[in-house]
Amino acid sequence: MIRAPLSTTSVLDETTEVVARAGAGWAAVVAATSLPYRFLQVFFLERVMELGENATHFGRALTQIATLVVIAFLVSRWGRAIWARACRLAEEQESAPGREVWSVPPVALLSYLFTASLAELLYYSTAITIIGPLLAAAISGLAIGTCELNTKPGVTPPLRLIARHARASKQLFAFLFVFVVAVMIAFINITVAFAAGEWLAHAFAGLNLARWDLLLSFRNKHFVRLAMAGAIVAVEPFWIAAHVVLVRRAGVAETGEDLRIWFRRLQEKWAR
Amino acid sequence: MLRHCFHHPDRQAFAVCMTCRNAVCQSCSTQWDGINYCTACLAARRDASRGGRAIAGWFTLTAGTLAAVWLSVRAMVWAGALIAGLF
Repeated sequence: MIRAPLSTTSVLDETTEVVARAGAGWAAVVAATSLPYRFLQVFFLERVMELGENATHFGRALTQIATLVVIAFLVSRWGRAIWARACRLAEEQESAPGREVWSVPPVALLSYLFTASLAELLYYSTAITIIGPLLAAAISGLAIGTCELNTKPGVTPPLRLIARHARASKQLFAFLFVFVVAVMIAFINITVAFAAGEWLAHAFAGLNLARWDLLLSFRNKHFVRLAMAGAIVAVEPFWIAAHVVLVRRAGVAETGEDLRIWFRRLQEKWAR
Repeated sequence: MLRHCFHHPDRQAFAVCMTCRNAVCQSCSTQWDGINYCTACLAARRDASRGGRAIAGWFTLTAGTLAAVWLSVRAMVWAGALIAGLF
């Protein structure tokens, strides 16, 4: 009997099915909760850039903005937990999930908030390196993937779960590469959509858009940053779903459940 | 005087549970840490210890999350100031 390997492409294929099945409504929850967080991040970054070398003298003001960012971060993680649950239910039921998606178990939610905060801490602590943020993104992905596996409250069980699933490191780093490319493509699409909208308004409605031309160009760094935040929000539901599918598939491969499912399907096929 | 098991009246008593003081037979009695307990009292002790562990788990998890969130705010400001100095 040959066991199908846990490949990145097969996980991504299943991810697209799961996202389609889970429905746009639940994906909208992630987007709605994530947008304030991403925009506040941009706001913080712009204030920091504006202050330049004087930033160290404005510690209190920056701390206030950072507190708002972290509050928005916690709300966005709640949205992520809901979406991850919607993906898991869509995968299990093979149909669109209902209202049960809202009832994320408190242990799972708090464990996820803990691991996600640790990943965020790692991200900011290593922001000036290249490896640190990538590692933090991988941990963050595993944190949402293992979110619903948490059944016992405690500090060590969620970390142990992440460590156990980190063995699929090949797929995790492949995901990083794929999703970085996806964010770039989404960014190009967003900027092109704005440019096309502007062109259509000028060509057909005859509007004078000289000011908008300046605002929606790459020379305007504010627009570039906001478009990048929008691109991340657009890709986020797929990123979460991919990790939910990866963790589920890694788990069933470990327990032999995949073979049992495969054998059951084979028997059903023979019976027909 | 011959005593019978509290749960099985047809069986002869073997020990007395140190919690409920009921006489219990050999199959109902469990010696834990040198003391005899009946099945029900042992289960109650196990549940109590689990409950305590669960409370401790919730407490550490909440404290850990709050600490990580607080440190994230600090790390964000620190990273922001560092980046601002670099560019």
